[in-house]
Amino acid sequence: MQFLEELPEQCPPGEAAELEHENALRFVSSDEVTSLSVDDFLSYAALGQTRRNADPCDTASCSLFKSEDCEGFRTARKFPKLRTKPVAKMSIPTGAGMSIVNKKGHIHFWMYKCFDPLKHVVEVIPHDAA
Amino acid sequence: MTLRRRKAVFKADLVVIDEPQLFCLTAGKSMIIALAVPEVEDSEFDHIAASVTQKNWERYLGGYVDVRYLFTYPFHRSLYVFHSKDFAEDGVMLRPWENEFSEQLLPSHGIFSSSHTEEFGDFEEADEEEQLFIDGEWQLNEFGSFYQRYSDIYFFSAAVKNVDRQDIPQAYKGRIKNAFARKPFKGGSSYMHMFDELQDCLPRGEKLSLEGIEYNSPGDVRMNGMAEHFSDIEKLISNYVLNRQKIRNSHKKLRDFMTKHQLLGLAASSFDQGSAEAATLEQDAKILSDDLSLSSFDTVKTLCNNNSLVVAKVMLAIFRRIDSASAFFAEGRMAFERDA
Repeated sequence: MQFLEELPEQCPPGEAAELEHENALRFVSSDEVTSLSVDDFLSYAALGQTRRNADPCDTASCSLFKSEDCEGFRTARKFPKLRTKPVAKMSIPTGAGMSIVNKKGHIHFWMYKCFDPLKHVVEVIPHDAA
Repeated sequence: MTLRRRKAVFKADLVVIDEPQLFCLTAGKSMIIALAVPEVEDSEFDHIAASVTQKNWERYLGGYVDVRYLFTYPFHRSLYVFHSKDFAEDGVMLRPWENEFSEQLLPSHGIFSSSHTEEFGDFEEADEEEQLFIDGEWQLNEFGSFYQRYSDIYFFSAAVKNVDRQDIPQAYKGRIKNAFARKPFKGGSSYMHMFDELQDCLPRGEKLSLEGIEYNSPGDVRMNGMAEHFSDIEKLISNYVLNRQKIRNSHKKLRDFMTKHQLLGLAASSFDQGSAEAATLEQDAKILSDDLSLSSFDTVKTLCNNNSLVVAKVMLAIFRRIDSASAFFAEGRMAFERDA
């Protein structure tokens, strides 16, 4: 299966799996669903950004969170740059890509080319409501 | 005073969510913590930064303070701003920020080092567990009192042992020596400060931390630290409970001598080491140390700059802590082993 982004070698890692994520959360740029674009779901690497000493596979993933209650998301909301960002709630079926979920509820998601993230946005939660 | 810009070099990402939210830099020997912030119109910066002392950096890595604390509370901090577009291969110029940061730019409380998404450094924490068993009735303040006393004994015992170890970095040995040497030892505050300072004298891999208390009858107290130091404390307390009368006699002898010769309130610097009292003080302090089963009297003497008055006062202080901690064991409310 072809991935949406060009990935480094041995990426995704072996422990990644095709997982379903019913209410995955993604920080996005707009409160309005109609204003979102694919860019809102691209990885740091795909946006032309580089990180020093970073795992290139991590940098090439789309960061998501399992739910509003998970530790990773609650921590993310404490950061000033993320505190005011809207959040897209997504329904991601099995077969959309490969994922790794950590114990704090953060998801590294490498999506397949056939997956359109915009079509799987259920709603956008403005930052005041999250 | 004109605040100056300073160059900082990237050290490590700490939290990456979509992009680096929190990372650290170094500017000379100083640690700088940097936080991504929303770009406010005309602000010309998208990061704020703060210098962090070595002590506060270790407190942050130990989980004792959060990120917001580092930006808002310590007296000895300098604040800076910069823009990510100014980051070059050789670092970034930090622009000094004279006022406090607005709420909009600050993180919320609760971002501790346990929130890091990236591996950082080789600061491993002590992970050998000691479990003490509690029973009977406890008031909340008694847990605090016990842990304070236990902690003082732990750090004292460990520090005195470490000062002679080859594998302990010189920086820690220097701190241990300063904890003893830079005190007037006139009133009670010297001892408090000495024991407080000793907590910063151990590598993180040896530090004591409280992991949990289950208050039940029976219940337990769980601590992390180094097994060797836990074992030493068990021996000290067990010895005290067993030989309490003998130890109290040698304590009384020393204290009565110091009272009689008006030495308890005398500052260390005012004591004449060539006086007749000096020899008696050292002898009686050694007897107390031996009775307490402290294994390192000579090291304590050296740390106290061979000042017999200081040695005697330190022995009285450690006696009080062992006596106080041991009482809980003698009362049956604390035990090293649970009865079958």
